[in-house]
Amino acid sequence: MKDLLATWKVLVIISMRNLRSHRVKTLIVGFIMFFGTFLVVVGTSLLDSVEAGMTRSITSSLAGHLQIYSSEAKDKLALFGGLAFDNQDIDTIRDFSALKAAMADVPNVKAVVPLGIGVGTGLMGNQTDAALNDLRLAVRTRDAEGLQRAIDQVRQIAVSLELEMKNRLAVIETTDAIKLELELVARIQNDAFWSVFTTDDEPEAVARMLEQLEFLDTEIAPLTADGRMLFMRFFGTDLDLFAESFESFYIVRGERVPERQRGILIGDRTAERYLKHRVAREFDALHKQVVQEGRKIADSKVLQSQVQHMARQYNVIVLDLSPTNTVALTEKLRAYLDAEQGALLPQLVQSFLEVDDTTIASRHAWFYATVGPMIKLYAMDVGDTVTVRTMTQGGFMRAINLKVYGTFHFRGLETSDIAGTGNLVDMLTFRELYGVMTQDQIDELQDIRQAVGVEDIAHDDIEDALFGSSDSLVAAAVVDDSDEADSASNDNDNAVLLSRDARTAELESEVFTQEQIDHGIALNAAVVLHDASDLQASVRQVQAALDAASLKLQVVTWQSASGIVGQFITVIRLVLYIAISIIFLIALVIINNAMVMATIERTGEIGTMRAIGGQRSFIMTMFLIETLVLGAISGGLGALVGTLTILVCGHFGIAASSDVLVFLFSGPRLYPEVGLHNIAIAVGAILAISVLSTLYPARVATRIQPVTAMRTTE
Amino acid sequence: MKPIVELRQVSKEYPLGKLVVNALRDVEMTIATGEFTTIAGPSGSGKTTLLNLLGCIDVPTRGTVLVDGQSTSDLDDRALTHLRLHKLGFIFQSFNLISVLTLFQNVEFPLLLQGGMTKAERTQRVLEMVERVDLTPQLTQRPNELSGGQRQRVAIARALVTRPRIVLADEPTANLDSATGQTIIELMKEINQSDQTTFLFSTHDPRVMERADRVILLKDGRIASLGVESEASDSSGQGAELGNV
Ligand SMILES: Nc1ncnc2c1ncn2[C@@H]1O[C@H](COP(=O)(O)OP(=O)(O)OP(=O)(O)O)[C@@H](O)[C@H]1O
Ligand SMILES: [Mg+2]
Repeated sequence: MKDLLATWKVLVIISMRNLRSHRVKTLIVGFIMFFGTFLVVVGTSLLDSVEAGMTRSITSSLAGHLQIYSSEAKDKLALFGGLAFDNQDIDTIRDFSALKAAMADVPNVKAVVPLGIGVGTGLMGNQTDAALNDLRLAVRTRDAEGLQRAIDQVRQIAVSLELEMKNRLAVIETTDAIKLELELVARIQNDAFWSVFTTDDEPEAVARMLEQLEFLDTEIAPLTADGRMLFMRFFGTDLDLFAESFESFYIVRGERVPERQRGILIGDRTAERYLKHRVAREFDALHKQVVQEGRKIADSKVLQSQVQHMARQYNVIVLDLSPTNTVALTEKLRAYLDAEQGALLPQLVQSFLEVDDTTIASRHAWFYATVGPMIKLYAMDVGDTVTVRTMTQGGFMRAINLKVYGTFHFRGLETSDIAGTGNLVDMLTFRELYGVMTQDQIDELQDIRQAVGVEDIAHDDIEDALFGSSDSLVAAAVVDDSDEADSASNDNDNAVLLSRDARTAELESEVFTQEQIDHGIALNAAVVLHDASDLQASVRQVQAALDAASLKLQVVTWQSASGIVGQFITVIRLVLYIAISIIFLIALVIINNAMVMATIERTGEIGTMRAIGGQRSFIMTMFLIETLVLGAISGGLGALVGTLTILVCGHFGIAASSDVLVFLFSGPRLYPEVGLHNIAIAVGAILAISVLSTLYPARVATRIQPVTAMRTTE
Repeated sequence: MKPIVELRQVSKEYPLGKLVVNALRDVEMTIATGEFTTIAGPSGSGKTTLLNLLGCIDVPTRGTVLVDGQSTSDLDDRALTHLRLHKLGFIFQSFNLISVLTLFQNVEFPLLLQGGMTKAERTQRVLEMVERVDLTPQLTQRPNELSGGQRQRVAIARALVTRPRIVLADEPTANLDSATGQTIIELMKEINQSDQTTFLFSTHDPRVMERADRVILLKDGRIASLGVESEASDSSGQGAELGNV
C-alpha cells in the first residue's frame, strides 16, 4: 500500500459510511469517548492546578519545601495533623544551631527555619480584670482620682451585670444560682463596700482594701461572661527568619515582633473568628451576605433571624461601655436614629442593630466608625498581653505572658481556617512552654542545686525547680504554676498589688542574641529551597549533609510532611483515574461489541475485499481507522470542549466554597490552566482505547475467508 | 498457447457432519491464454468449487492447482492474496461492489491495493476501463444508483483494471434478466477478442453457454466433457439440459 493518501481516503470513506450506518452505536460510543476525553482534560487540568495551588499554599506558608525532624521520631511528621492530631511524638531536634550549620553548606538551601508546634490555652484579661487592675494600681500608687475612676468603672460593670442577671432570671427556671450571684453583685453596689477604698497608708486600711480586692478577684471577676480562655495552637519559630522565608506571610494588623524579642502574633483568622466582639462578628457576617453576596434580608427567614439574634445582643455592647462612653453613645445614637430624648441606651442599641436591606451598609460603617472605638473590638487585641498556658513535657503547667504585637496571615489563604488558626510565638518562648531545657537552663539548674545544696534533684523536679525559682529569667515569664484560684490566696500582699503589666514589662523588652534563638531544641525545621523543581534530589543532598554532620535527623518532602492534607491530591487523582478508567472500560466493551456485530454484518464486503486481493493487514487498518476516526472526532471534540471549559474557568476563576477549597486553591478562587500534557494524556488515552477496542473485532474480520465473497447475495 | 491455470488430479472434499461431500473428483484441466471458456453443469456439480480453487480462494484436498505455473498449495495466505491481486480478476454473481464508494472508486480500488502507481496513471487506467464498459456518464454514481447490468459492468471494469492473466466469473448473469445477461456476455466476449483477456465463467444459462469458445461440462464433480468451440455451440445446451435430468 504505497499510495497511502488515496488508500486512506478510501478507508476513511468506508469508515465514515460504517459510522453513519450505525448511528445509535456511533452516538453512544462517540458520547462516551467525548465525555472520557473531556473528563481527562478537565480533571487532570484541575488537579494539576489544585496541586500547584496547594503546593504554593503549603510551601510558602509553613512547610517550606522540605521538612527535617528527628530520625528517632516514633510518629511520622504531620504538619497539618495526622491521625494522632497534636499528639504526635516526633522527638526533637536537640540543637537547631548544629542543623543550621550543616545546612549552610548545601547550595540549594535558601533558609532553614526552626519550628515547633504546641497547644495550650490563651487567657485574656477581660474588662473586669482590666478594671480591677486599674483599681489595684490606684491603690498601690495612692492615686485618689484614679481610684474614683476605677471604682466607677467596677460599679458600672456591676450595674450591667445585675441587668443581665435579671434578664436571665426571667427566662431561666433554675434560679437559685443566679439569685446567689445577684446577692454578690448587690454587695458591691453598696456604697459601704467602697468606703474602705482610701488613699490611707495605714496598714489596717490597706489590709481592708486588700480584703475587698480579693473578694472582687475571686467572686465578682468570674461572674463576667467575657472572661475568656482560648484554645490555642501555636508554632514556635525564629520569627524574623520566618517572616523573611515564607513569602506569603504578612502582618494584617499591628506589627512584627521586634527583632529577636519575645512576643506572639495571632492568626488573623483566629482573631476574626474567636476573638472579635460578638456583635461585630455577627454584623460582619450579615454585611458579607447582604452586601457582598447580594442576598436580601426581606427575602430570607434565616437572615431575619440572624438580625434578630444580633439585636438581642445589645447588652454585650452596653456592658462594654465606660460611663463616659455610655453618655456619648446614647447621644450619638439618639441623633443617628432620630429618637426621642428619653430613649435609653439599651433600646437605642437594639433598634440600631435591627438593620434591614437599606440600612445595613451605612449602619455597618457607622458601627465601626463610632461604636468600634468605644468597645473592645477584639478580646485579645494588638498591644494586649496574653497568658499562654501549656502542659510541659514533664507534665507541669507552664504559663507565660506574651505581648500581642500583631495579627498575621498567609497571602491567598485569608479565608481558610486550615492555615489561619495557628499563632506564632518566638523560639525561646516555645522552648519554655514545651518544657525542655536549654544548656543555659541546665547551667542555671546547676546554680540552683548549689544554692539549695541539693545534690540530686529527681528529673521531674528539675523543671519545677528551674521554672519555679522566682529570681531566674525564666521564672519572670511565669505567672503561676498552679491553678490561679489556689495561688491567689497564697500570694503575699505585694504580689496582689503588683500589676501583671509590671511583671511582664521586663520580659517584653529583653532582646535575645541570634545564638540564643538558634541554640536549643526545635521539633522540626522547614527548609526553603532556591530551586524546588527536583525535590527528591534536594532530599538526597540535604540528607547527605545531615548524615555528614552525624545529626540523627531525617528529611522529607513537604508532601509527606503534610500528612493527610498532602495525600489529598493523590487520593483525588486516584479517584479521577478510576472514574476515567471505568468510563473507558465501558467504551471499550461497547466499541468491541458493536464492532464484532458490524464485522458479522459486513462479512460479504470483507470477503470481497479479501478475494480481489486485500491483505489481512488492510482489513485490520480499515477497522482501526474506523474507531480512530470516531475517537479522533469525539475525542477531539471532548478535548476541545474540555480545554475551553478550563480556559473559561481560568478566566473567571472557580470560587472556593469552603475553607478546605480555599486552602487547596491557594486563594478564594482557582484559576485553572490547561497544559499541553493534559490534552496529550487525553488524546493518548483515546487512541489507546480505540486501538484496544478494535483488536478483537479486527481479528475476527481478518479471519473472514475470501470464499464468502462467492456466497454473497446483494 | 501457454497454460494460465492447470488442474492436475484435483479433488475437493467438504466435511458435512460425519459424511464427506466429494465436490470435485480427480479433475484434470488446462486453460490457455485468450480462451473464453464456460463451466456448465447442474446445480451441485462443483462449478463454484472449481472456480474457487482456480481463484486461489480455496485449496484442493488432493492434487495440484497451478496458476501461472505456480502451485497454490505451496503458498501462504499472504502470497495467495498477492497472487489474486496481481494475476486474477473476479466477477461475482451478486456484483459485490462496495456500496459506499463511487463507480470510479470501486474500479480504482484494486489499483489502490496494488499500489505503485501515480494518481494520474491510476486515473487514466480507470477512465479507460470505464469507457470500455460504457459507463463514463455514471462515473461519480454509487452502486445503488445503478441498474443490475450497470453494476455488473462496473464489476467487469474492476476485474479488468489490474490487467489480470485470467478473469474468473461465477454465474455472472444469474442475477440479471436474460437480455441484460446477454449484453454482459457480449461485453466480456468483445474484451476477450480485442485484448486477448482470458475468461472462465460458470453458468446455467444455455444462451450464455452458446457464446463460449469452449464448454466444460461438470457432473457430480467430474468433467463430463471438455468441449471445443465448434462442439460447444451445438451440444452444450443439450448437455447442460441433460445434466439436469
Ligand atoms: N462449504 C461447503 N461445505 C460443504 N459442502 C459444500 C460446500 N461448498 C459446496 N459444497 C457441496 O459441494 C458440492 C458442489 O458444490 P458447488 O457449489 O461447487 O456446486 P455448483 O455447481 O456451484 O452448484 P450451483 O449451480 O448450485 O451453484 C455440492 O454438493 C455442495 O453441496
Ligand atoms: Mg455455484
